[in-house]
Amino acid sequence: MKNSDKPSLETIQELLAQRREEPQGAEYWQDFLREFHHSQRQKALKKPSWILPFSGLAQRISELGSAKWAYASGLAYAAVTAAFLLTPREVANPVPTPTRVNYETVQAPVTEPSETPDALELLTPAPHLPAEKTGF
Amino acid sequence: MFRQSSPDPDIDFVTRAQQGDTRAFDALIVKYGDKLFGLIYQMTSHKENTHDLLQETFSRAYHSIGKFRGNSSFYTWLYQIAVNLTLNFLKKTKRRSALSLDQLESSIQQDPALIDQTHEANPARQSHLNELQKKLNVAMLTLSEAHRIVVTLFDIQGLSHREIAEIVKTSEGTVRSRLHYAHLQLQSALQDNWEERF
Repeated sequence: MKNSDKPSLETIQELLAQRREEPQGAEYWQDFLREFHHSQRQKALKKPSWILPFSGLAQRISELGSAKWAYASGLAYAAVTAAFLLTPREVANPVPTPTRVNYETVQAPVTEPSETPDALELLTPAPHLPAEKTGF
Repeated sequence: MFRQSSPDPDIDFVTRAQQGDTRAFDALIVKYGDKLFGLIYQMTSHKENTHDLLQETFSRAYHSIGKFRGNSSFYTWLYQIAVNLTLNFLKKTKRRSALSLDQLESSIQQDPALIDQTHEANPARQSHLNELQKKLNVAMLTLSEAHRIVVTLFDIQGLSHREIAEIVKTSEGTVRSRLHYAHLQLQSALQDNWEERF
């Protein structure tokens, strides 16, 4: 190593390469495997029984490869169609919304007396005609 | 270390493990355990956490091996699981602020597992290198996780740029860039010591 301002890239890499881990040893891996198997058994026991058919189904679907997308599209189409057919429709003639009844009494319009004489007046003899001509 | 063009050397064990052969999966644990232990330990600097993360890595792999289709080598796939778990763990740890640099510094500096003791031909030089290693241990912790993982995989584990890009799911250019930046950071971290010692 030469004297310079900072360590060269090669020196850095040499130092880093020296950090390679020593193997853990056979005993460590025996214990590791024992612990691993124990934890996997615990996980299997904790898994609820109802999930098993679903996990099997998921496994089978994942094994379908690219065909699973075609199956998924078909299922999605069937689901949308079923939803469309089973959804109740709106009634064709809907009941009109009730309108509020007006209970207020309306004042009848006051009319001015007519200029024309009423029927009784017409029955009276005309003043300029003789009584015998009018029949009275 | 692994090439996609060549057949996966683990295909036999993987196929047997997919069929429920637990001994085949055990063989994969023993085969890759040490390498993954080294990777996780370089990232966490904590033996117990490394052990737990390694258990979790193999547990995830065991439960997902049915979905493994061989699009990448088993080795890459396993490394991806380990790297993701480790980075998630480090994010959570950082959020909790449980592992501060000050707390780690004293234990890391003295950790014989991270200091190579095999170069004893030149005791004086080795003593200097050990000093630098201690500084390097601390300097590694100042790198971001994204940079530390690239340095660990390339310089310590000996993986190629392409393999690292596949594991961390980024481009080779990004891997090279991160590596370059990380080396610069490590160089400047060791600079102070360097002038005194050499």
